[in-house]
Amino acid sequence: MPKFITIVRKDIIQEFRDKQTLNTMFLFSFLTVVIFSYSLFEVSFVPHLLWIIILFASLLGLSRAFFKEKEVGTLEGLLISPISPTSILIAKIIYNFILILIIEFSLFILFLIFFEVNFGIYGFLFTLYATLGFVVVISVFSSFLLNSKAKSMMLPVISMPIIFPLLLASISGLRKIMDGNLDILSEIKLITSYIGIVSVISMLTFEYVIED
Amino acid sequence: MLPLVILVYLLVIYGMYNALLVFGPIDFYGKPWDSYRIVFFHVPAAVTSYVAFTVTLIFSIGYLAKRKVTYDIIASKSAKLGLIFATLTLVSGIIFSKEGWGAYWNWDPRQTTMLILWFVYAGYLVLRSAIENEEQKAKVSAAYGIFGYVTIPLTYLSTKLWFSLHPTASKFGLSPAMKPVLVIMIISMIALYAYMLRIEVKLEKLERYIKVRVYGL
Repeated sequence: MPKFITIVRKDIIQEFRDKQTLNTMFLFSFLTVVIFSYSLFEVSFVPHLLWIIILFASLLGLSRAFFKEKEVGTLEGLLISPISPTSILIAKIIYNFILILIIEFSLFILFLIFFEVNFGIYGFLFTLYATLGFVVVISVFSSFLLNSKAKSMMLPVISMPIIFPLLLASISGLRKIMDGNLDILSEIKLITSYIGIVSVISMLTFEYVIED
Repeated sequence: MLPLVILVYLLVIYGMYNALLVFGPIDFYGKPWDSYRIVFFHVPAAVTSYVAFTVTLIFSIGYLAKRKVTYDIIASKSAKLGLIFATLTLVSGIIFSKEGWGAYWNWDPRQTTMLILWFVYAGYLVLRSAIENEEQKAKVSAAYGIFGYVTIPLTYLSTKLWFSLHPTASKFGLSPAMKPVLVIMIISMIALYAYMLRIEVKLEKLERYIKVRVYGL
């Protein structure tokens, strides 16, 4: 069994013990959906809205994976354990992906209830795929901020410009799917190259940043 | 160093003189147009900001590989100067855009990319100011600098994807005589950047020297 699975399991067990991050993320997305459905009736904005909620929910919740370790002082333990830094990063990315997957599933239900919009199975799969990019960037950047002041304030500032191309491609793709147009090859290509590039740089730089 | 500075001054004067007084108005949709002259400032500023950010990328990679403090200083100062030139590009671009396309801001792919680039390097500088440990600061900002630089082509592609219905920038022809002047302006702007970078790096090194040797921090 690869070593990162152990970290993922540890994180999931820990999270499901009190569900603090998950509950906060869910409540945040629920609240935003309610506020927007109250103040905005234009259905054509729904894909934009979905991605903006996913973006902010991930910025809010996914950084916890690293920040929590720093706060309770278990990061050093994780670093001196016989696990390569890359495995730690992969573990955190997988754990974060599981978290956001749960949030997205509930978001799709909430959108069905409040906006009566059904993105369908293609919409869901596309969203999951594009989310992978968000998860990689936010996981890596939250590890960058471990030693900084005002961590949670810094995270959006540094990750949003990097996420921008992914956000545009995701919105455009989901919008096409919602209109029943499955010609999204160029979006898929862009998202794939984005995920590829970002993952490679993450793997290359993470080791340098995390070591002391 | 001084002869180079004088040479650059002369080049700028020559370029500006040509751009503002020698060349006549160009043909823009059938009528004479004078506002194109901002090109001689706008394009060099844009090219210089790209050069500055490329220098940041190179020295960021260099820092991660070799761990030399000088590399970190050069990378960060180059990002700062690049941000200044990017600001100049954006501001002159906004004026130019109003004159040429009729609106201050119209989400043209190049305009958008420059704005995102500006955000990336503004984030870079904010990130540096938020980390206190010098070594951590250098490592993290180097990594972030690499991230920012490599995702920029994707930003350009994604804006093209997004605004595929949007009219592209109206083309206007510079006459053959104008091109060398533009090149001269680009070279002198890059030389200005190099000179500023040299001063900034020197200053930062002196500051650090004083911190360590005089105050013993």
